[in-house]
Amino acid sequence: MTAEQDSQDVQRVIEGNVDAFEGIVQRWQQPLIHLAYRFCNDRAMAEEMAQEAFLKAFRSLKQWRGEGRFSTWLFAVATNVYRSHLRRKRLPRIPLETLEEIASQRLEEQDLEERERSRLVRDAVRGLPPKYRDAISLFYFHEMNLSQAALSLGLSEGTLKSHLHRARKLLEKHLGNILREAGGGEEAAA
Amino acid sequence: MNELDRILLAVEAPESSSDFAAKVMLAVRQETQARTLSVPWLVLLVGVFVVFVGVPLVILTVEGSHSLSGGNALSAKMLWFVGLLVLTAVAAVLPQQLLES
Repeated sequence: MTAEQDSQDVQRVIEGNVDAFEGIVQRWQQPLIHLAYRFCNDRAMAEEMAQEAFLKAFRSLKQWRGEGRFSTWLFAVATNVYRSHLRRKRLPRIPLETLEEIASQRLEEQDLEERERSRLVRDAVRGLPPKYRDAISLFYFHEMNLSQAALSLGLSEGTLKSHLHRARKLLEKHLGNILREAGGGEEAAA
Repeated sequence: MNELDRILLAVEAPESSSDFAAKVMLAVRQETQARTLSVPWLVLLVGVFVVFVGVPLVILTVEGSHSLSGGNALSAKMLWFVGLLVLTAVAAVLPQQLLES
């Protein structure tokens, strides 16, 4: 139903009814903000990035040929916008080595709380080289659906798999302690 | 599923603010208006280009070809024809390219 509504709205916008774009914005605002948040970890910036993505989609709506799902095309457009946005803004990235130090210091002091651990992992993802960061962000955004993530990134599934493998290795190398600690804690609790 | 998968799947996205869609639509409408306004300007720009650059160029080339003979005249006419063709193509494509950029 959503796919059908998307097609109809796109057609109406192309025919000149700008207001029809609001339907698209209403349906996809939450997923696009969610994806942006995975890239930047900042609520205000995520909205700014999502707005830029919608504008870009509006400008290039004629390029969607209706062959694949509209959402796949929209996520690919948004991913490109987010990557350029991050390149332009040059957000401060905490080097992975520094995160490793922070994580081990905190572990010595006390067990890391769940939220703290999640934040460290997300910071570590942002500290990855862009191609690995993008692979991880899209793969988990699409709930570990490899083909969807590959389509959004414009990569083959094989390339994405290799980026994911490399990204996981880097994360495990630098955050191995806190990941093991969390896993061990859960096993002990069970 | 390992710990890394669990943490990265569980990222909670913030709710969009209530006026998000309205802000996007405002930006979209502003852009549409700007685009509508910019079309006459682009047409004017291309027109000025054709009148002040293209036409004198054509006149000069044709006059030049009259004073020439044989193969030279033919080359000048060919040049005139190609120049006009390029000018027409630029006039047709440029506004669209500028609007889409």
